[in-house]
Order: sequence, then C-alpha cells, then structure tokens
Amino acid sequence: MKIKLLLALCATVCAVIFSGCSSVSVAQKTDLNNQALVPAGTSIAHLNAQNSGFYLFSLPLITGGTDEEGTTVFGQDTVSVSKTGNLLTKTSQNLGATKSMDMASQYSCMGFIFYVRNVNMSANAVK
Amino acid sequence: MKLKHLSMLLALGAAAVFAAGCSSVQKVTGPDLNGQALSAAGTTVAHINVSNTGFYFLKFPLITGSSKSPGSISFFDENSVKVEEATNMLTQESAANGATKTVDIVSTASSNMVPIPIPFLFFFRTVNVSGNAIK
Repeated sequence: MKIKLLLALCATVCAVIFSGCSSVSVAQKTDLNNQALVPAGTSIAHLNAQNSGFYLFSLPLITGGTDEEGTTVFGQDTVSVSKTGNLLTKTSQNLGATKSMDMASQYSCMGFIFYVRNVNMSANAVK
Repeated sequence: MKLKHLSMLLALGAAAVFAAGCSSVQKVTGPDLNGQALSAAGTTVAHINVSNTGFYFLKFPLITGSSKSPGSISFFDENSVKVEEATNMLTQESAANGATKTVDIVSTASSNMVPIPIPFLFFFRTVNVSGNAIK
C-alpha cells in the first residue's frame, strides 16, 4: 500500500515537473553569424516558442503560461497553436520586428485518459 | 488468467481508440498575430496548423483522424494520415479564410511500430503540416 502511494506521489511530481512549461528561445545577432534570415528587410532574430501541458481528456490541468514565458498555470487551455502563436508574435513585436516570417508549427497530443499536449512554433523576426 | 489477458486486450483497444485517430485544424489569426505580418508581400490572413494521427495494421487504416471532418474519428475507411491529405486540409482552410496563397508550408510525418501484441504489424502514424495564409 505504501509503495503504491509512493508511486502515485512520484507520478504526480513527474507530471508537475515535466508538463506545464512554456519557453521562448531567441537567437539574436551574435548567434546568427552575420547571416540574413530573409532576402529583404532587416533580420532581428530567429524565434522558437514551445508550450506543453497535462490534460484530463480535453480539460487542462497543468499548462505552460502564454501571457509570460516560463510560467505554469492551472486550469487554463493554453497549449494551442493560437496561444503559442500569440506568445511568439508578442516576443517578435517586443524585439521591434514588424514581420514574423517563415512561421512554422508542430502540434502533438499523446496519452490515454490523461494527455500530454505539445506545441512548437518558430519564426524569423524581421523589420 | 484468461480474464487478465482479455482485460489487457480491452484496455489496449480502448487506448488505441482514444490515443490514435485524431485530426485538428488550428490557426493563429487576428489579435493573436500582434500586428505582425507573416510575409514580405500581400495581406496576412492567418497561420494554420493541421495535425493528424492514426493507428494502422500494416498499411491498412484502423483508426484515423478524419480529413473530411476535422476533429472526428474514422474507422477503417480513411487513409488520411498522409502529407497529401493534411496539405489538402491546410489549403482548404486557407481558401475558406479568403486567402489566395499558402506560403512557407512545412510538413513532418512519422510512422512508429507498436510492438504489442506482435511486432511489425501495428503502426502509429502522425502527420503535421503548417503554412501561412496570404491574400
């Protein structure tokens, strides 16, 4: 009984640690080695936004926050292309870009009763 | 013992139904774009993502996400987990939103063998296509 309880506790801790995290990576000037990202316009950065979350069927339990990267929220359906796209374009806008070019996205949902959803998006910030 | 095997098979079947066979069309549009253009020329309409998964016996579809009706499950009759079908869904959604071009199309597809109950018979396929709708 104690072992079962410990296992359940471990599973819960893993769920909290591994799911429900959003991040935005920004590869700027120094990382671009003077390479332009688009044929026309001024390249600012290559951006990548990731978000993941833990769901009970389609009900969000623990998800990454999209209002601010690196945060975890509870009970909010944030692991979608629209919310992650918002986070990506907001970061692009904050860097002074007027265009987010070559935007691409990947979405996945895996599980049984409990699901882990992932969204991965990238774009090039240009002005 | 037989009951245990039967319940395991039932659980696997239920898992296959719930985990496999899901299609979705999602888009980033309007205020979610934060005023960012997605292309150098033309009017930005939306960024669109299409995802589809399915459970196959060899190359025969068992449970797949429907490409005709996104969000619903198709049993045995739709071989829809393909880049061609997903691209069709993407461009259809793009056209339905008033776009005349779908640029920057990127696709990923994978097929993973499910080793239970017999290896090399059952496969889990996924396809993901995204593009930017412009007019």
